[in-house]
Amino acid sequence: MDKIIRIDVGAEGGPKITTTPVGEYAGLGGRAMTSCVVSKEVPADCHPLGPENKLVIAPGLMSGSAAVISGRLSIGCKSPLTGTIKEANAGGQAAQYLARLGYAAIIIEGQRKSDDLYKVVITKDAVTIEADNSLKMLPNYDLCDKLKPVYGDKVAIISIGTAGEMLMSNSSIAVTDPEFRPTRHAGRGGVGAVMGSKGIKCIVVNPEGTSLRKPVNEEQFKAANKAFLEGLKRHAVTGQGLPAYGTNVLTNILNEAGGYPTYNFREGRYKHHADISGEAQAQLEEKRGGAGAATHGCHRGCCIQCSGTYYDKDGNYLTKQPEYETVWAHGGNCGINDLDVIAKLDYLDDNYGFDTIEMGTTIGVLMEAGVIPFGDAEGAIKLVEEAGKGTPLGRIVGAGTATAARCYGLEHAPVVKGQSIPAYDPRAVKGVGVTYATTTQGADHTAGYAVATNILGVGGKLDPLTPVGQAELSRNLQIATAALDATGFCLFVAFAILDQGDTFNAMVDTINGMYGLSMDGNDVVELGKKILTWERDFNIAAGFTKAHDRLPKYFSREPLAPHGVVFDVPAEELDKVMEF
Amino acid sequence: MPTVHNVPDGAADMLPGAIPINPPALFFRTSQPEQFQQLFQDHFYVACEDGCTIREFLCEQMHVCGDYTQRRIQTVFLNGHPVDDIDTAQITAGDTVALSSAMPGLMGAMMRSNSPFKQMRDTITLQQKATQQDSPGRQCLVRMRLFNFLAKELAGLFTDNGFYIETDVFQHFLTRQEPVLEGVLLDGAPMALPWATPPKAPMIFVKRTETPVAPER
Repeated sequence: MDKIIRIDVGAEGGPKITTTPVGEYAGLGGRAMTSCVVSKEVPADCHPLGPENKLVIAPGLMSGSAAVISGRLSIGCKSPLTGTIKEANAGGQAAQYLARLGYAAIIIEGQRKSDDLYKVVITKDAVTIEADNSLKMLPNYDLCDKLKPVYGDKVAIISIGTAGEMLMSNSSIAVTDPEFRPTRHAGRGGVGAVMGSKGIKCIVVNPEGTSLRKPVNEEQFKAANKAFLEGLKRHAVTGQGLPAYGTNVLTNILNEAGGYPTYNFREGRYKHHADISGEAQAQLEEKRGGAGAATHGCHRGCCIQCSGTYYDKDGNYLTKQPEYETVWAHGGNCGINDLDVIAKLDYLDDNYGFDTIEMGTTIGVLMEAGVIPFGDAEGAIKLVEEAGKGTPLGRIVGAGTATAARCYGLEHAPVVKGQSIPAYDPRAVKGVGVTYATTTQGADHTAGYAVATNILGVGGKLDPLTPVGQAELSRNLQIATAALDATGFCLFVAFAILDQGDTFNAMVDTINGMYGLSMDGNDVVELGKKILTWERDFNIAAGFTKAHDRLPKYFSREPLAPHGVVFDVPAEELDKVMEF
Repeated sequence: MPTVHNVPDGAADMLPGAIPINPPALFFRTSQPEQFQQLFQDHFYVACEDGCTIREFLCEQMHVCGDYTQRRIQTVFLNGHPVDDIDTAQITAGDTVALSSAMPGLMGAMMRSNSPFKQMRDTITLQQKATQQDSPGRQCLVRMRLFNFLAKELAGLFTDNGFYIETDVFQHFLTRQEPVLEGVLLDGAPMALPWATPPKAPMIFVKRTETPVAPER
C-alpha cells in the first residue's frame, strides 16, 4: 500500500485522476489515514458539501494481507450531519481489494463542474473515470444488478444510493459483500452525501491479477496470525456467541438491564423484546434455511462470521441479517415487533443508502410527533420509501433525527452533535453516555469500545475492585478504539483481546510481522492518542467547544423506567475525557 | 411439585411470588427440550427458597453448579440489576432472575459480573438488598429468564425440574413454536397439543417426564 489515488472532480476538462506515492501519509491506514488527511487538507470551517471538503477512503493497515478479519474500510470527511470530522467504516470486499492493488487511500476532492454522474474503475493496470448518467437515481441493489454483467461479481463496488445523490444528511456509502450484494455500509454521519456532492456514483475495484500482500517477516506473521485466529476461536463471544446469534443477541440483555430505548427513548424496556431478539432471529433464520442463513461473514477472511442472510417465508433473499442496532432502531424504538418488517426496512435502508440507526431514530421522532403512530409497520416502510424517492416529507426524513425533530417542534431529539444516539440508553448505562457526549464523531457507540484497556494499560491498569472514573474509562476506550480502527481489524476482535492477553499480543505481533516493526501496547496507545488529537483539533477549529460535549438536557431531567435513573455525570467530568 | 403455602388457585397474579395451589399439570416426553428456548428467553417461573442467595438457588435448588456457573453464566440480573456477587445477592418472592452467557460489545462486557467496566453501569448495579421476607426459607415463586446459549443448554434441566407458566403465554408458545411433544398428559388425562380449549386456570405446571405416566403430585 504505497500509493494514493487523487480524483479532482473540478479539474479543467473533466475529472482528473492522479496516482501519487503515499508520501507523508506512509504507515497510516483506516481511521488514522482518513482523519490525518482530513485534518491536514480540509479547512475545518468549510461546508461539508462544498468544494473544500474531501472524501477519503482508506483500507486498514492489515487489509489485503492474510491477517484474519482485517477487511474494514474507513471513510472520512467533514460530516454533513454533525459538522465534525467523521470516520465511518464498513466491511465488505473493497478494503481487501484496494490494499492488494497497492492503494492506501482514495481522495476525492474539488468541485464538480456539471450534473454528470461518474463511475470510477480501478484495476491492476489503470484507474479510469467516466460519466455514466444511466446510473442516476439507481438504488444500490439496482446499481449492482446493472454493473454485474459488465464487471462480473468478482469485483467490489463502493457506491451511493439515491440518498447520497440527493445529498441527504443521512446517507451512507455501500460496499458489496462476498455475494456482490451492497449490504455493508459506512453508515454514520452522511458520508454518502459528500460522495454525491463530488458527483461520484460508484467505484469499481477489480482485484484481478493481484495477490495477498506479503509480510516483511513472514515467519513471525504466520505464527502470530495463527495464534490470533486460535484466540478468536477460543473465546466464548467471538468463537461461539457471535457466530450463533449475531449482534442482535444483545436485545434481551439490554432489555433486561432496562437500557433498551423504547418508543423514542421514553422507556427502557420493550414488552415484545422476545419477538425480535437475536435468539428469535437465529431460530427463524435456521428454520427458513438457505445459504449463509444464521452464520455468515461480511468479508472473506472473517473468522467470526457474526452476520447472516435473511430470507423471507418463501425462501427468497430479503436482506443480510439485521444487526442489533438496526433491529433496535426500527424495532423496539418504533414499537415494531415483526422481524420480517424490520428486515424489509433494513433492505430499504441499504438499497436507498441510509444509515439504519439514524433512519430508525428519525422514524421514532416522527412517531412521537404523530406523523404515524408507534408500531405502524406499513407507515414506517412508507416513510423510508418517501425518503428514498425524495418527496417533500422524505426530504425531512432523510435529513436525520435532529432536523426531523426541529421540523415538528420536539425537544425529544436523541442526538449528540446532530447524530442520533444508538441502541443503549445513557441513563441506564451512563458510561456509554460519557462516550456519546464526548466522542469526536457525534453519538457513536463504536467510538469507545471494549478494547483491552486493562491490557493496554491506557491511563493505568484497571483494577476491577477499584472504582475508576467514568471519564477515565471512556477516554481509555476511545483511545484504544481509535487505534484499532486504523488497523482494518474488525472491532469485534475486542472481546477476545479484552479477556486474553495472549490474543492481544498475537494481534500486535501480526502487525509487527506484516511491517517488520517491534510495536508494543504503548505504541498502540500513542497511535490512538494521535488520531483523537487530529480529530479533536479539527473539531475545535470547526467551532466545537466543551459545550457541545453534552447529552440533550432531557436525559438528565426525565427518569427512565424501570430503574427511574437519569444521566447524572457532571459536566466537569465530561470535560476531563479528552484531557490526555 | 414443592410444598406450597396457602394461596388460592389462580391468585398468583395477585400475590407476586406465591406458588399457585394445584394448578393444572401438563406432563410430556421429548428428546428435544431445547424447543423451549424461545419460551425460556421470555420468562417462566420456578419454585425457590425465599431469601436464598443466587448461588444457593442455582446450585442447591436448580442443580446448576461449579464450573458451569463460573465458566458459562457470565451475566446475571436480579430484577433488571446487574449482579456482581451471586453469593450475596438474595432472592425473595416475586423476584426476576435472568442469566446469560458472555455477550458482545461494550455493553456485553459491561454487563458481565465483575466486569472491569462495571463502573460504567453503576447506576443500575444491584446494591445490597434489604431483605424482609415474611417467612424465610419457605417456598416461593421466582420469575426466570434464560438467554442465548443458556436457554438451550439448561432447557433439559428446567423442563425436568418442572416450571410454572401463565396459561395464555404457554398457549401462545404452543401456537407459535409448535414444539414436538409426546405422551402429553393434562392432569393425568391424555391429550393432543395445541389444545382446543386451554385450561381456565391462569397458570399451569409443566414438566418433562421419562414416561407418559404422570408423576405423583
